[in-house]
Amino acid sequence: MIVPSRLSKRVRILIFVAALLIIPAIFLPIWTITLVAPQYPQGIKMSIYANKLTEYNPETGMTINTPRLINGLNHYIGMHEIRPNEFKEFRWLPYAILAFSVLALVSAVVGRGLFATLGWILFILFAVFMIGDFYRWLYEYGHNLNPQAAIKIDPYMPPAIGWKQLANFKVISLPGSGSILMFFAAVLGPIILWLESRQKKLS
Amino acid sequence: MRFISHGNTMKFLCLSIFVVFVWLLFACKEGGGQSPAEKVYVPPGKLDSYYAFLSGGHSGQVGVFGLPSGRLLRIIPVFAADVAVGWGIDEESKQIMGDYIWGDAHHPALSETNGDYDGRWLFINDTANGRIARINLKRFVTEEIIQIPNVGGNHASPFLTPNTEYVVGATRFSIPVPNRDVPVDSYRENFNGVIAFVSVDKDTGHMETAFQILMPPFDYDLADAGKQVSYGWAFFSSYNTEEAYKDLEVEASQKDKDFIAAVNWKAAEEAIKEGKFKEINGVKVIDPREVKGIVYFIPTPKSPHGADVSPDGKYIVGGGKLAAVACVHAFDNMMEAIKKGDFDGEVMGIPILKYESVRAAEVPVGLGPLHTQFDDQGYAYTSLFVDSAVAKWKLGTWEVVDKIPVYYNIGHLATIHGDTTKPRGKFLLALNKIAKGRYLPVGPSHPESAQLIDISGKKMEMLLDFPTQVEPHYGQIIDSALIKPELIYPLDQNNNPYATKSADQTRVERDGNRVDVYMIAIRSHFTPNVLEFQEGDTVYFHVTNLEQDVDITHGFGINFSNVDMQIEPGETKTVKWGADKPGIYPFYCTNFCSALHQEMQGYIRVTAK
Ligand SMILES: [Cu+2]
Repeated sequence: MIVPSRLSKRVRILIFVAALLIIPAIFLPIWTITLVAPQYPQGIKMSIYANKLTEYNPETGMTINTPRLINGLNHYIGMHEIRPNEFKEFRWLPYAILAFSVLALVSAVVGRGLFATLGWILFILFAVFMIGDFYRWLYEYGHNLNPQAAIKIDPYMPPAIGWKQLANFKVISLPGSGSILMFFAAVLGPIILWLESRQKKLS
Repeated sequence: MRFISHGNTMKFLCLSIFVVFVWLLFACKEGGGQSPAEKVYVPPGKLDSYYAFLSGGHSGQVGVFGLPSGRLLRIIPVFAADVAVGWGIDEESKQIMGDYIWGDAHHPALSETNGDYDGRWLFINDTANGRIARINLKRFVTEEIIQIPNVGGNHASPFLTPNTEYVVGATRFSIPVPNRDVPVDSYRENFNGVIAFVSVDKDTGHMETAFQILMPPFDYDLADAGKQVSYGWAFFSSYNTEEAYKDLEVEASQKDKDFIAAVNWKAAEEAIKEGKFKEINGVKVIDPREVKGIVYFIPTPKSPHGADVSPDGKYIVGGGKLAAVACVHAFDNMMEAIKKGDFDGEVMGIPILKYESVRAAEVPVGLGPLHTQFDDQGYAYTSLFVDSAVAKWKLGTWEVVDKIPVYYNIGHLATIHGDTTKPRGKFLLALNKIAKGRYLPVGPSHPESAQLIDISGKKMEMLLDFPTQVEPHYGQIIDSALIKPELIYPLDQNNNPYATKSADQTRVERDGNRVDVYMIAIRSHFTPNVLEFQEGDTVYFHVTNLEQDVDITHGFGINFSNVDMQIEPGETKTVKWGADKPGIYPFYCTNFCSALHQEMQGYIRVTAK
């Protein structure tokens, strides 16, 4: 792959856009997990943000910062209680997102191809790490079951993306708006490369 | 001979088929195109369109039904205990209920703003013990019950004014005012009726007796407040103007006409401000012999029951229950007669207006007219107790346009928003006194009954019978969109001083013989769940339901005791229990809550002193 050393104005604008796309992920949900059951036809929705968890019950219209309902239901199968203060990620994740946005901003200003490419690779590595981290948590919750639980189930892997039936619950796991925006920021990288290589050919 | 050619036959056939088809279309449209079953069918998972609040009579309760299905949704305990929810058992409801264990709930009244229901509160009277209760429609729980002094048998109540300024009360059984020991045959000298105005706080709904009017010892039956043009007035029907006290059956039905009392409550407010009252039992009472211009009597045929004001406020319909006509008075005529001094004597300083001057019409509705409600098309509907029927008639032309039989002996009736300034039409509910043979028999006491009638068409159509469990003296039907009850109580808004908001705050505090237990209930356990007391302790259990999920109610019942109550999600309730005898007392969750509900229990140990 040939990375031009000086980036064109058009590309720098695109990198600037990527920087802007990353920022909202600090405030928008990164992932959502929805539990649907016969007695919860509208589902209970847990949203994972960069720095917190929320649980939304459409029946009451109430949103709270601890997944009280989900924990209450999970205790039957002996799942470890989901406690927001056990996620160390919440402490640094907003800063990490901010740092990547700043990094993109700096590459747009500096306009050096190598700098931008390295930044993009770092961002992809970060995304892979976070997805891995998410998998690890899901695995822990699905496998670290209290042997004294009232209802005994086999350890299982909750879905990271997509849906899975578990007892009377359908668990639906989907990316939130924050990660969708970050995804768009990430795919801007290859688009830029393609644009630049085409530009080169033309000139 | 051929009168009709072959071609003509075809034309004729086609034409007749077309005519029949059009007629069918028209016939279907006439009936709304739906069968009675379709009109009342609410499919599984769908909700009714209206709430009907029906009085519970001497059960002391209020029934809540969904319409058009007629499904019973809830019985709200008011004047009598309900051991399921703990009404009359937990400390707060015990205090609201007071010392009486029964009441006779007759007339529900929804709070109004600008003459229309606002869905905030439901008031209901207690005929037996002279009280009015207020139910909060955010919670569907009785919030306040007040005693009205000086009123014997509070029947013409609560019939509130168009902005819920006042709920009213009035005497059905006259008594000495103030009550004292006198010979019953001194009835005429010593007994009095009382008309009471109870103010309602705009924000909290809190009720307070504002003032009363001393009245002759008649039996005051029903009431309605003036609206629109007649705003500022209230009308009370009365019977037994004969002032009988023994065989009312005969003696109280002698006169040709009794009275509707027209009360100018705006003028009464002025009189009170000017200090024109005396105090009886701590209440400001106006004596019409001394203060003029407050009350007038309008003669009305034979023991009127209803005194119902039309939506525009122009007419007052008297249902003379022993007459064959509904007597309509015009408010304008009344004002004119008052201005001209067109009187026909007086009773206890109260001028009697000339019947002919006030009356606008006598509508030949049928036998035993009791109570009238209205629709949105200018029609009135009058229940006929003796005829067992409902008559539909037009305001203004006074023409009776339809009549439908009901089964049997209808008392009150209710249409949707039927006593407001904005009736909605559509349905009418007949509230019947007798329903023998209409349901599977369940012994000599027969079910109480209501019947739903479609009033949207030209002809009334009977749709549905349903038993009401509680005696439906009167009902209020409101558009369900106007009522938005709480589904849970948010824990962070729980201000109960005895609330425990997490398991680590649970505790037992002792102060001499008094022990306070701060307990939580959450699926599927109580904390604490093993307790020890000493013989002679008085224990207060303060139980907080920590759930914030819809419909997860816990119960708290103690074996070998009278303690049981329901605690709603986010709510704290206190119940008192005496550790009277050494031994072991299991307690458990009495309201099914979860898959481990049966495991939700605990033990109390009482040790000997
Ligand atoms: Cu329970």
